[in-house]
Amino acid sequence: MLTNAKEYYRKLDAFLSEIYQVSEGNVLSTVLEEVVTDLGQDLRIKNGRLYELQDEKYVLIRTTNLESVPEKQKELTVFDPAVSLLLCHGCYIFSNFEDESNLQIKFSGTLVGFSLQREEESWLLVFEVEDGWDREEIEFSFNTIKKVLNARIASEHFTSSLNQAKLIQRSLLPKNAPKINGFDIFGKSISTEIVGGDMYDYMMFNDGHFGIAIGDASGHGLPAALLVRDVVTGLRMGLEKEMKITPVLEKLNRVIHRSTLSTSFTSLFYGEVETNGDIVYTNAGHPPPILVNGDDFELLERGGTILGPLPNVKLQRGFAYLNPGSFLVLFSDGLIERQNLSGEHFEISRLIEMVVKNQKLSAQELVEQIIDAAYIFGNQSKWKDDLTVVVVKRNEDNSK
Amino acid sequence: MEIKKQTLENIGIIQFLGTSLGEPADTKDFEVHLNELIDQKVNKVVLDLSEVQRINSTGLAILITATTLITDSGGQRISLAGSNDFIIGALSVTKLSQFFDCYEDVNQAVEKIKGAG
Repeated sequence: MLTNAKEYYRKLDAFLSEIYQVSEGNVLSTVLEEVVTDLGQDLRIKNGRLYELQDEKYVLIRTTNLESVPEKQKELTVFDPAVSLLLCHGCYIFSNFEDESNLQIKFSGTLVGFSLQREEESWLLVFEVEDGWDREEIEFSFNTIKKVLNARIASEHFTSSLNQAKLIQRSLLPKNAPKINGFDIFGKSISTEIVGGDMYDYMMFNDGHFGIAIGDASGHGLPAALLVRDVVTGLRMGLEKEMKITPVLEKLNRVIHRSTLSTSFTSLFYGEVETNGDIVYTNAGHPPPILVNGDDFELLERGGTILGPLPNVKLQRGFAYLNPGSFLVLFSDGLIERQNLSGEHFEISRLIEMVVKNQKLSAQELVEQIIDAAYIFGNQSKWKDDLTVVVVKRNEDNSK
Repeated sequence: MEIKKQTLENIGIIQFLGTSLGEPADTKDFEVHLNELIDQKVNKVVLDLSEVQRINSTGLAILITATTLITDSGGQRISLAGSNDFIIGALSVTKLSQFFDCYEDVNQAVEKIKGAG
């Protein structure tokens, strides 16, 4: 029996909260140890062991406060009646082995254990208790621990899946801007979630010309990230093979349209820049990049609808020219739709005014300044939408 | 966002009662209403956006879903009523405006399409 129930439940509460603080990958071994050290005295727990399912056997992977374990207890088959009891109950107390000969778990004292499952993975946590234990206290404590632990390992798995998606997505985004003779290029993307829907990419071709893509997939999180992955890989593969921009994007549209997520779509601008400054592009429903040439500007709008919602789209090519000293500003809607406290948007007009005024800055300085300006405009509040800015500047002296 | 529907002269009207269209729950709620209208053999639908201030990509996906579901079931083009400049701008940038008929308000939309088709 608990000597001070109130204090124990406070301790249990703190213990359960700590389960969420344990670093990823160490949760079960930490809990195994802390059940014995933190709750052992109150619940009369002597030691603990952790089994993990490996090839239809539960293999002992960790013990706490236990000097040695007999060989036959190091592996338990899934058919072991004791294991079945642990798998079928919230928590099970082995206080009366009626037929010990059937059990591979042979222990001298009383045992309490529970199982945890996560998809194909499974674990058993087994503790030995000594005289003075109380059924009600043990069952309450271990059932609660089991519930919290199950939630923790499920959320860990989910976060780890999202982190994997993030790694995939990051691996697709350019690590550095390309160094191209005669041009100064810089891009930056900020994601509001672990994985986001914005993408940008650079493509280099053998004859020295290069391509820039920027897009925004519908939605957020994993579905958007997967769509981004399809768009980036589809674009790269198509352009390497076909080299013609509008058929590649039209084909990409058909691929996205056929995907099972019928509401998936993406805006996408793709342009190719020749070393002499000639640009050929197509814009599938993306906010138009701004071409700044001195005090003049041009919006690169020509193209067609966003990719995905329609089975077939017909895109048009647009043409533009980058004079020495002129530059392109590509961005996603997260920039111009940034709101201030009065509900006003950052707007493309503000962006144009700003980049025309600051055109002597380098590509990186310009990108940083645009993002800073939008951040300040939004009263330095958290970004609410993914945001991407890319600047491609043709150097003044193009002979270098 | 709260989404309501009604029928008027065999025209389905779906009203979006909130300022920002495209919250995660909006898609499902909207599809439930739209599918009920399709089940009732309603083939003309007006989306009342007069209270909507802002639309994101999920909101655009809702409008596209409406177009796809209605035309796939033999219905007519979706009408949008009361779109503000922001929505019109979003449809224009994404070049989706060609798939919708836009009207000042629901009354004008109903008046215009009730005799059509």
